[in-house]
Amino acid sequence: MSDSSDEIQIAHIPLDKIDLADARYQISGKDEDITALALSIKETGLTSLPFVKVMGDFYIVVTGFKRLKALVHNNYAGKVVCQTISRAPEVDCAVRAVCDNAFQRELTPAQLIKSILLLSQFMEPDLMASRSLGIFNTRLNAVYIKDLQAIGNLPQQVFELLDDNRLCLKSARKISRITPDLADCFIGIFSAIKTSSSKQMEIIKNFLEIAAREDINPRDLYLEKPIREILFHDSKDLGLKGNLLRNYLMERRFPSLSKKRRDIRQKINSLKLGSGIKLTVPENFEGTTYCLCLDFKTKVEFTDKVASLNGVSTNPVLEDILKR
Amino acid sequence: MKITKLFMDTDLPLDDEIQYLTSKLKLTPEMVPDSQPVYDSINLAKDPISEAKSILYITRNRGAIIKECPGTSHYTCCDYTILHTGTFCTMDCSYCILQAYFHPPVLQYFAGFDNFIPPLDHIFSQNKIYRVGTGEYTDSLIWEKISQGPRFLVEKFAKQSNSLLELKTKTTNVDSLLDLDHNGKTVLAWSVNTPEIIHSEEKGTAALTSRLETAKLCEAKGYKLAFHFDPMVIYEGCEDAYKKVVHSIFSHVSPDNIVWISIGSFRFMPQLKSTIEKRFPSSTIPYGEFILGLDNKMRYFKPLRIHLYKTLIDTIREYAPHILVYFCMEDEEVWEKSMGFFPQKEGELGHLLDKSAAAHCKLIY
Ligand code: SF4
Repeated sequence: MSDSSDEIQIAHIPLDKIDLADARYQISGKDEDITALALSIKETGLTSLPFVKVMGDFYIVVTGFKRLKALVHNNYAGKVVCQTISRAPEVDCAVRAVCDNAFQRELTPAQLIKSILLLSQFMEPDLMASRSLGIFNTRLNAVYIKDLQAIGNLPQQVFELLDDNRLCLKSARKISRITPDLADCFIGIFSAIKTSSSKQMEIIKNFLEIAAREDINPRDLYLEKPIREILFHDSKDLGLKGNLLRNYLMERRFPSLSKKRRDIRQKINSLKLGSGIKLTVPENFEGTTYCLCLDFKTKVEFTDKVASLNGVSTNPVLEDILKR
Repeated sequence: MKITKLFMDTDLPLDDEIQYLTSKLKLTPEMVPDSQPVYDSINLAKDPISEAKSILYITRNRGAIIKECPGTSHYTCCDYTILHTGTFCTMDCSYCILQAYFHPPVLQYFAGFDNFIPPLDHIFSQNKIYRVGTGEYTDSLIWEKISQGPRFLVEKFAKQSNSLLELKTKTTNVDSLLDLDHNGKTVLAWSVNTPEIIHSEEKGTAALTSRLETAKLCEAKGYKLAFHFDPMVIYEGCEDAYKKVVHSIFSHVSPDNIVWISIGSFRFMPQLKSTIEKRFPSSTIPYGEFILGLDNKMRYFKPLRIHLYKTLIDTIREYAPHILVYFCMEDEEVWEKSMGFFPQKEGELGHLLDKSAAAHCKLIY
């Protein structure tokens, strides 16, 4: 930032002279709740000054959007004490806007991306990376910055999903690398479900791989009835829908493995091993070692369970399970 | 892939071997003190793996010339001996493990036939059978067009009696070998696959019929043969397609001249998947029903492997009931369920292969 601190002035500016609709430097979300802030300002007044930039007869906001909106919320119509500068280069304003947010609290993913997009108008990722500690209060590397730029080009809805923890940055990055119409499908999917980041990645991977395996357009897969039924069923909560979708995709991606798992699970259940006895098959049926786990507290319990296991050993279903 | 750039170690002599190679390539080598400029040249490219296929580095083998096949626990190994004559390949199979094996892979030609003599003489003097191959880190016969190395090895093996040389390839490069006095000690082996897989996944390799026509030609010249169904790929209609491959083999060559047939399905280190996706975006080969095997490689879900193997083996048996068929890297369950037996004892598979080698190539020890 150029050393313009001695040009900064403190001015009393009529609130109606500040153009709150000009959001070019806004990092915080437009719809963030400001009720508490408005109450706090009623109690104590403004404790830190907004920064505005002269723009003809008006001023535009560089920092302090929420504070100024809180004043409007409070029906305040007088003058506001602001920091202002007449000839601030745009890049300085952008840096100031980001710093003001980043040094108050950790930026949310959406805020971080907005900040990157704002600064990208004035500097290359390498320069941004080299200045990141002083601007973002954390070190960012150029590759990460480029990834965030790409995510920033996705539809606006992605920002909401990111801040809502319904889409992690890793998933968003993956989505940003595919075609826009397909990105829309994933935005549709993640708007309808809620699941952990590793499961989001699994859903994206399995979805794309099913389309490749079955030689179908991923968009057509998205439009298939079973998927739409899961996604757009109103009565189901988002977490449950996430699990249903994940299971559906897993079964379709690995049909033989899933079928075998189902069959063997049924067979194990039919053995009626009883509580405290658990038979585990080799992982993915690749190895050949089965595992039997038996809980007991007393010798009597142990003897009873061993006796019931003896009965199981002659059950032909056990043979079936072992033959696979 | 055409070689367009040639590097060579400064300390190598410009002898007949090198002159033959440079004249065939019609390239003047850039002399380098070490491998760094080669790596730099490859790493600077947008796709280093593709780039590495067009840059040949003539160097000396600074490591072991003869190695035991790496094998892995849990899956039966064939106790093969690897003769390390070069690395990487000019062909471009999507599934090629060499893409992920070296970072970056470098197409290296290990110069100096003399270097092979002492270790080979050593194994030739042993009281056991050796099955030696050059096709582990490269295709054995991509070099035939530019080097007399394959010819040297065939002639070298012809003069001993306890070892077999297996030259494994997906090419038809045998011209310089056809009229050699090989004394039956060289087995020419082809990796085979279905025409669909060759077309979609084995860029730059010879078509199946060309491979088999070449095998027929070699058979007529007295060479013993081998075939490797590896990697078998599971896709819709693959069973019938692989049956047809078996049929094609036996309509070209006699089972009596086939020393062995090996079988293995596509398996890969997990990190190969992203390389395939990046370099071969239209390939669907990584999207089979893979699970993580006990050797930490991705493998097809076992019942699927067994089913395909059984189909293939039954078909082979129809044509050649006594031919030695073996698995590369499979476990007891797979052997038992698809082959009906398992070489349980340590070294038993190796022993079976030795027996077939001895019978077909008249090895004595
Ligand atoms: S022929 Fe063999 S070595 Fe060459 S690319 Fe194909 S798999 Fe790799």
